[in-house]
Amino acid sequence: MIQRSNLRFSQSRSSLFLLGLIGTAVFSFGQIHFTEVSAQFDVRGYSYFGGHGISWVDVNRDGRVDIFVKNQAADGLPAVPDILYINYGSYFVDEAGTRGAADAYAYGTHGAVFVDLDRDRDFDLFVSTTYGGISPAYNHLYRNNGNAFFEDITSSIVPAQTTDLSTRGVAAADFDKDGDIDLYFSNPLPDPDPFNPLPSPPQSLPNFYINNGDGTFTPEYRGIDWTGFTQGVTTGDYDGDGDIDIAQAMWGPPSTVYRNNGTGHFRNVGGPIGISVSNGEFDNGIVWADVDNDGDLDLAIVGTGRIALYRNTANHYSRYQVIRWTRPIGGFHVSFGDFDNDTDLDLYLSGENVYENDGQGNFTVVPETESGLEDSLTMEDPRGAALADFDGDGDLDIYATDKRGYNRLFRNDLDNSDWIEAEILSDTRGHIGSIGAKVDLYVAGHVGVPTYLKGHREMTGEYGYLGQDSPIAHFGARAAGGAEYDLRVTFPDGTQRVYGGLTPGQKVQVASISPPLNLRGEKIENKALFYRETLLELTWEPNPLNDDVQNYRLYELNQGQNLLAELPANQFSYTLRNMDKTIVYRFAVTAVDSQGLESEAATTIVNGEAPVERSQRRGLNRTLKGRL
Amino acid sequence: MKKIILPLSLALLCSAAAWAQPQTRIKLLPDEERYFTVGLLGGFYFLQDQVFQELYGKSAPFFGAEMTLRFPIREPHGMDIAAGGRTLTKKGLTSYTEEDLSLRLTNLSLSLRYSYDTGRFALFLGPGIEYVTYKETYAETFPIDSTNGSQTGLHLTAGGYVHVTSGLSLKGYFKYCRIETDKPGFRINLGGTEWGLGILYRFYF
Repeated sequence: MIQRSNLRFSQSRSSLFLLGLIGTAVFSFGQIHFTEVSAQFDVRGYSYFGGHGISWVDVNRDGRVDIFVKNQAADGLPAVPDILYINYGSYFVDEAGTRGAADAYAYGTHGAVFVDLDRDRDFDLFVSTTYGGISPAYNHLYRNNGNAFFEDITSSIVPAQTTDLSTRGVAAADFDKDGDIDLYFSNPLPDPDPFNPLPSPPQSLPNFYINNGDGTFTPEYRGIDWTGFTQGVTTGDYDGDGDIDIAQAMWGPPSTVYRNNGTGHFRNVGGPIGISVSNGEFDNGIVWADVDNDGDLDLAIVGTGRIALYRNTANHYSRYQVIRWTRPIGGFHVSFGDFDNDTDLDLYLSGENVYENDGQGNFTVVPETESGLEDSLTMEDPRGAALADFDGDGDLDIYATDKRGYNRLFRNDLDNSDWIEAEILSDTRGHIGSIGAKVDLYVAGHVGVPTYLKGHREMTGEYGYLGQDSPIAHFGARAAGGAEYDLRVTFPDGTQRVYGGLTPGQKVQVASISPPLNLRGEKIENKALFYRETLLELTWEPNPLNDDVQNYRLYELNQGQNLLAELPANQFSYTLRNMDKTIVYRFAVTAVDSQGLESEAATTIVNGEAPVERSQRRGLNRTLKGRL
Repeated sequence: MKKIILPLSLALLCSAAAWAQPQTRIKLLPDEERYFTVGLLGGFYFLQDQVFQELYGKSAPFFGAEMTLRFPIREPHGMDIAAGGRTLTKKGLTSYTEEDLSLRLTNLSLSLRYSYDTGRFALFLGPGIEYVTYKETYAETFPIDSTNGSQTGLHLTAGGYVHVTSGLSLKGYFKYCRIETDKPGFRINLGGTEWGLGILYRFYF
């Protein structure tokens, strides 16, 4: 009996081992599979109500992405705090209260976006408040002090708000291309009728906070009329003209796209560019993503029991697929991510299932028995979701919120090295995350060649329905055969950086390298009694936007661009000997980071006037002062 | 040339005045001294040039030699013809980069001086001409190794002797030199004041 038992145990253990091997082999080769781990990591939120949206963001800059859950209040509990789960690796702890990010105002939160408003390379927070008959319902701005402790700075930087708001989706980007982050919020009025099936008379309301550049904001109307109840909002450069456009999902009026004219003023172009969702539908989420790897943003609109997929062809959209499901949910949110690291974007419908991309943008549902998303299908009232590689294993995990149940965390079980991630630590304006930046992955040696494009991502804030992915661009990138890739980052101001020869299985930290500041040149007379040498002393200052400067390069520009010297990062001056005091010289200094990327040049012109006299000899300074 | 005429005239005027007023001689020296001296000198040269002062300091020590031929006119008055030379070297630093410098100045001078010699001591005053050679050596970082050249100028000197014995005298003097050059492309004032002491031996003839 004992022997039989042992035999059975032995057989059982062998079977488990074989199953494990098979499972590992399957996931290693890229099959989509998730495991629901919300209980394990204790990130379920309020277990029976509240969850409307989620932002993945590393608020405390510890390299682990944290979770911010946007909670709407429930009846009888009007002031429900939002949740900030700090990621401690093997567990999360809600620290929203102690860190000042609870935003517990009636009637809770819908839209919220983390964005670096003050260019100090941490994520600040813009949070809406939902009007539910309790005043005031104002938007709030919180400044991150760098350690993920937040200070409510609303009153100091935004003029007093006098109107209750029913904000749902929000957006953040440099809409007017002046180098700082502006904010957009939907439903800038207290009590819109969400069930009006027809477009309401347009109301030109101030629904932007335009950044004045000095840390304050001015409410402005920028061409987006309120015509009906708005749900999700997203941003992207759909027409590739270098500015940030806005798309929003609406109830009643058709969901639409607002084209930016380049100065932060918008025009509704939904109809002309082919977005053909009709009036009277109830769309909740809208997403831009390049699902066919052709370098432009395709569009998905979710709501009314379907996902409408639009392909972007020369800035014109055409609907090419409609996904419907059987669950009795309207559909609030879709996320696009390369869940199986096969270089194309797959689709997750919040509270439903994952759909695999065939590489051309056509999606096929992956049965929950394969995907492991059975628990997704049990969500009571699924709302926003978002993606992040929260465990740092190179694949995208999902957090999905539930308005009437607990939130889910689906860990991706993929186990391979077929990925490359790009985290933008600072763009050319000093913003971490760099909303509006475009990140493209190419086969090595073929940057800019469309047929070698392996993925196009645009960094955005909120999208779909109140979801915000971790601001780290994730790409599937096959490692087989020693493949290498080039990563091109186009910052919002058009500046590009290329990281070449990347092997899969690594995260690239992208930091725009900015030119040094205050480059000056001065001719100085270095005297002997019988000889006058003209020195040219160049000085500059380090740019505080740069975290990673390896060295500086000094160029002379009088005849082309001649490299004069390569200097260490702690040297901020350079002296050229025996120059001609009558010649006008032009110089440039660039900063170079540890990746070898070189900044734009800071330049200066040194005129042909007589050199100044200067002595470094201490004892003589006083006596020489009168003569110098 | 005008610069030399005025001090020369002054010296001759003093000689003429002395001729008209004979004095009693002190007996340490013969009644009429026509002698030739040789001696060694040392002292400090204070250059006026501000750049020199900035680079090398306010003064430089020197040493040199002198010989004098005295012609009595009517004792104790007489005329000296003096020829001498001195050399100085000084280390310095360039004004901005503070690199090493080295300067050598060598002067040759010829003076015509009125001499008032009591036999115990003597005073003299007179003008002269200076010929200076210079060499400045630079650090390796400079595009040239050194600069050298020469220049002539004028001086006015005054001083006195104390006759220790009939053959040996001690000398103290002051000399104001005016020497400028703009050969490097800018003006350098090599002039200044020279304060020195000397010891001389006298040969009568």
